[in-house]
This record gives sequence, C-alpha cells and structure tokens, in this order.
Amino acid sequence: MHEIIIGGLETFIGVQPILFTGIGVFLGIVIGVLPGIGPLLGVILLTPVVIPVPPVAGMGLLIGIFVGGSCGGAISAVLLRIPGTPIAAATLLDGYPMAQKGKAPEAVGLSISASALGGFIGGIFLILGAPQLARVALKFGPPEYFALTVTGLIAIAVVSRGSTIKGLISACFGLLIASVGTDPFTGYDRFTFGFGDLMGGVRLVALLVGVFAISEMFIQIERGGLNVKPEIDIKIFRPSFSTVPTVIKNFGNLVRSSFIGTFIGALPGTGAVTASFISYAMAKSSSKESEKFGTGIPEGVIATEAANNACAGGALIPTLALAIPGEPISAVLMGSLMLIGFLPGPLLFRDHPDIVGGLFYAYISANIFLLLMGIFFTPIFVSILKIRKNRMIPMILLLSVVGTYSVQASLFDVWTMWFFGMVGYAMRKRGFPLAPLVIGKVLGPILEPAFRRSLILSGGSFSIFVQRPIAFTILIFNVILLTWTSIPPEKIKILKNKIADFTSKRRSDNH
Amino acid sequence: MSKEKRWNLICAAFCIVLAIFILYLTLTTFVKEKATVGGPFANTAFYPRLLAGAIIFLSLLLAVTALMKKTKRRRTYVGMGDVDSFNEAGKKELSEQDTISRGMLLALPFILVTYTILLDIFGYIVVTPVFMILLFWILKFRNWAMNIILSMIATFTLYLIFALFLNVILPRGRFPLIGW
Repeated sequence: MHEIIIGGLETFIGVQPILFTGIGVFLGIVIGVLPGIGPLLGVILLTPVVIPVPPVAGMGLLIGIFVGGSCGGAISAVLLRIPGTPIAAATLLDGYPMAQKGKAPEAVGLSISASALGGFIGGIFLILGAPQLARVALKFGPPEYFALTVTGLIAIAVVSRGSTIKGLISACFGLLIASVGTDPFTGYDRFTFGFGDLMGGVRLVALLVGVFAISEMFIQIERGGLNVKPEIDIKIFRPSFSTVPTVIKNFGNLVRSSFIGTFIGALPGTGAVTASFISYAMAKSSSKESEKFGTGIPEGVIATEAANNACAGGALIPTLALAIPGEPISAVLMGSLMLIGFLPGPLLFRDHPDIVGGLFYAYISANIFLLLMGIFFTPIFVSILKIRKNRMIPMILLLSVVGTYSVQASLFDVWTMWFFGMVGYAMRKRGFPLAPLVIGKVLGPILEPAFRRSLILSGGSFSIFVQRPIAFTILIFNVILLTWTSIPPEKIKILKNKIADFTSKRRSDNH
Repeated sequence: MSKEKRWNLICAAFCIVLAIFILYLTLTTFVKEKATVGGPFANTAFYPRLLAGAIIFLSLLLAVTALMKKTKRRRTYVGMGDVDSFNEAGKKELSEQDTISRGMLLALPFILVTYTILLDIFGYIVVTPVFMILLFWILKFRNWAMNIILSMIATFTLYLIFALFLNVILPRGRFPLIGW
C-alpha cells in the first residue's frame, strides 16, 4: 500500500502524466458530447498514442477519456434530449425537463459536479479495494485463474443484449483470434496462413478499431441524418461552481449513488448504463418526494451522474487486480496496458506498485480535471453539439487508418482493421454482440496459459479443476450462472410464484 | 419461416463451417509442423480444437433454439455508442433525412480498399486529401470550398501530429519524390 501511494505519486507528478490526463478528460468530454461516439470509441481511437509515451502518461490519457466521456454525454442529454452516449440516457430523465424550465446551466453544472464527486468517491473505493483484491488473488494458481477468466467471459456473454448463445459464440471466436500467432509454449505458428505479420498475433488495435469504430461508422452512415444540423438555440453559457455545494448537500444521495455505481461497475458484465438506471430507481424509491422525479429535480441528475462516473472507478478494480475486465472500455484499457508491457493482475501490484499508484492518481485527478474543465469549457462543449455527422465520420475513418497504421507502421494492420470492420458490421446486423469478441481477444493470452499450465500441473488430467476447492467453486458458479440465464424469464416467474405459494401455504399452516 | 429464424440458421451454419475449417487446419498444417504431438504442454492444437468444438456445439444449440422458438419479436442488439435507439424522437427525425443511396453505401468499402492500396503506392500526403474530399462529398457535404479546406487541414494536421509528437512517419509511397 505504501509503495502504491508514495511510488505512484512519484510517477504521476510530472508534466507529461498530468498534461496527458487533462487532455484526455477534455477529449473525453468532446467525444461524449458528439452523438454516436462514446468513451469506448474514444479510448480505442487513442490507444495508439499510448505506445510512444511514458506508461502512466499514456494510460492517464485513456483514463481521462473514460472519465470525461462518461460525463460528456450528459451535456447533450440535457440540452438536446439526445444522450451523446447511452451512459447518459438516464440523466435525460431529469436533466432535460430541468433545461426546459430554463435551468440548463444548472442542470449541466449539476451533472458535471455530481460526475466529478461521484468519480472521486469511486476512486477512493478503487484505491482501497483493488490492492486488497490483488492480495487475495496473489494466492491463486493457474486453475483458479482459468476458472475466474471463464467467469469473466461468461458474464460478458450472458449480459450482452441479444442471445446468450450468440454472446458465447462471439467469445469463443475472440479466444480463437487470440490464439493466432506463435504459440508461446512451443513456438509453433498457429493460423498464420503464411503471413509473417500474423506471427505476433492479430494486432489488438486493428481488431478494436475495426470491430467497434469502423462498423459503427458504417451503421451511422446507413442510418442517415448526415447533413442535419441539431436545432438548438441555446445561448452559450457557463455553469457556476455553486452547483458543487448543491451536490454536497445531497450527501446521502451522492454517497449511495456512488456506491451503487462502484459496485455495479466492479461486477463483470454490467456497466455504466445499468448503474445509472439502478441508481436512479433507488434514489426515487428512497426519496420522500418520489413523484417529483422526472419533472426536473436535481436529485435525479445527481443520482445518475454520480453513479455512472463512479462506475469507471469500480470497473477498474477487477480489471487491475484480477485482469478480468467487466465491460468493453476496461477491456480496452487492460489491452493497452498489456500493449505497453504491463500485464494487469496481482503481479502488477507486487512488481510495479508505482505504475498502479500512478493509475490511481490519474483516475483521481481526471475527476478533478473534469470538474474544472466542465465548469470553464462548457461553452466549447456546447458549440460542439452543432457539428454534423458528415463532417465527423470521414475524420474518424481517417483517424482510424492513421492510428492503426502508426502502431507498427504497417499497412497490414490497416487491412486487418478493414477486415474486422466488415466482421463487426456483419455481427451487429445479425445480433452477435461485439463485447465478448473483444474481451475474448484480451483475455485469451491469460486464459490459454492458465488452462495449459493447470494441465501441466496435473500431468494432463482434467481432475485438477475439481480437486482445487476455489477453482471448483468458481466453475460451479459458472455453471449456475449459465443455467440460470438460459431459463427464459417467463419460467422464472412461474417458479417464483410457485415458491411464493408454497411459503404462504406453509405460513398459513403454521398459524 | 420468419426472417430472424432464417438468419439465425444461416449464422449457425456459417459458424459451423468456420469451426470445421479451423479443425481442418489443426489436422493438416498443425500436423505438418509436428505441433500436435505430446501432452497438454506441447500440444499446440488442443486448445483451438476445444474452442472449435465449443463453437460447433453452441451453433447447433443456436440452430435448435431457432427452430423450436415460436416467432416472436426479440430485442435487437444495441451496439456500443448506438445512441439513436435511446432516443425515439431523434431516430425518426434522423432516419428520414439525408441518407445516402444503397449504391453509394455498397461503393464505400471499395473506396476504402482503393484508398489503402493507393496509400501504399503514392503515399499519405498525396492520396489522403483526395480521399477525404471524396468521402465528404459522398456524405453530402457539398460546399466545395469548405470541403477542400477541411480535407487539407485534416490531412496535414494529422500528419504533423503523428510526425512531431508520436514519431510516426505516415506512408511515403513508392515514389519518394512525390510522397516525401
């Protein structure tokens, strides 16, 4: 803990890390405000930048985008009734009515200060929770790791919209893509088809940019509205710092929402969208004036924004401590960390506490930047709302090409990117979720060695997964998770009713 | 047969074919490399085979559930950053205006491929402005002056950012004099 806090401060205090984190937050808010591209796309498009700069600076940039992007969507939700990202969809419920009442600056200010404070609380949970979790995980061997990684994959596949089966197929293909290249154990080449460029595996950036960014651009083009200028006649305004005390006055709401956000963020498979809706519902049900929710009251905005930014901190806990990212953004962060040579997980905490600490500071200061930039630069962000899609899409396509090329100065990667762009597009069209594919690719390099090492330990017998108590428990949990989610919801209802009937009968019998 | 059911069957069949192809590879090229001998440590093929097997199993499951399920509406998958579906009003507004024709949409991938080929031959500086102008034009950005200015700015700014700050020289092409 000591090394993390002191060592982290040493790596983080410097011109580059602080500057990059600030730039990240700024870009993040811009990306969040623009409709159609959220923090995920932002983090993906800027991953190539991480490679040439110092580790904490590069990761600070991405964390900044994560934090800024989680909040930026609120601005367009409040002003346009179009959440810039799905994350801000719940903010719309109270934020937009508030703006309609002429309190737009207050609504935007509230979302920014609630985001920043919520994120800050999430950061405290991150700093307290992650090292403890890593300490526990340090005792895990390959079989436990295998079981845990499988949980991460199943959870992602299960909660992806669409069908669980498709999610699992997608995850399997992700793992297969991860197995392309030279086998780390034996040195044999797998699925390289004679391409020397594939010996190092399919490049993560090319896959990510293709699957998410390129396919998204195609979907956006297809959907139309290319030359439409959003009709806003909102005066450029600047929210004031007076919204900060308002948020702090709602202390109970803030802490509860941040806690919900952190907790849900830390669970595999769920993310900021779920967190903000649950937090909103909780705030509504525990409020004395619950009927006022939805009419434009500060409590609603605080509940959703604090939760969705705290979620980022929560999501980083299992990503850093266990190397199990719960949703695509933290998977990309984890992938970038691996790209620069740091494998997340308990060993990162033991061997590079200064890097871990640096990331913690980056996260905390990203939230401070969010507050400052949100208050001072809102006029800039509001003017961005006027950018039309047909200006944006070509720029993003160009940035995708250039960014992917820059990783290895290789046009082969650009071809890979186009290929996966088509794959991603086809998958979306046919209802195959993309997140499991990407998480499969990121977790593959952890899952396969864990699996094969376990078999080496046992001399080739699968019984090792049953004999180790922790691994066995986790695997049983996986089976339960799968069976539970494959029961259609109607049946669960019938089952619940039966149980309710049964217990009420018992009760009446007792009386 | 409903449209969704048919597509699910097609997808299942496609995944099975892919998985069989992977199995075929592990039985041919892997064997040729002598990568399939030995226990779990040395056997490179075991893990991919396991995955291919899982894909076949899951695809069969997908096919069976598709056949058994009565036709009903399902939630469609909402992609990452898929915003408009959260906003019914915006969706209606957007989807009817300013779409590009089907033909143009199909032409786009070819334009992107051509761009990548030309990038290799003539270099970034020469090809990119043309590509950007064309893309902007296709996406109905018809103010020529603004279009050309924006394309130029985007091309050169990115070139400079990557060259100065990230030490990456974008493709120069095969004729160094044109492509610098």
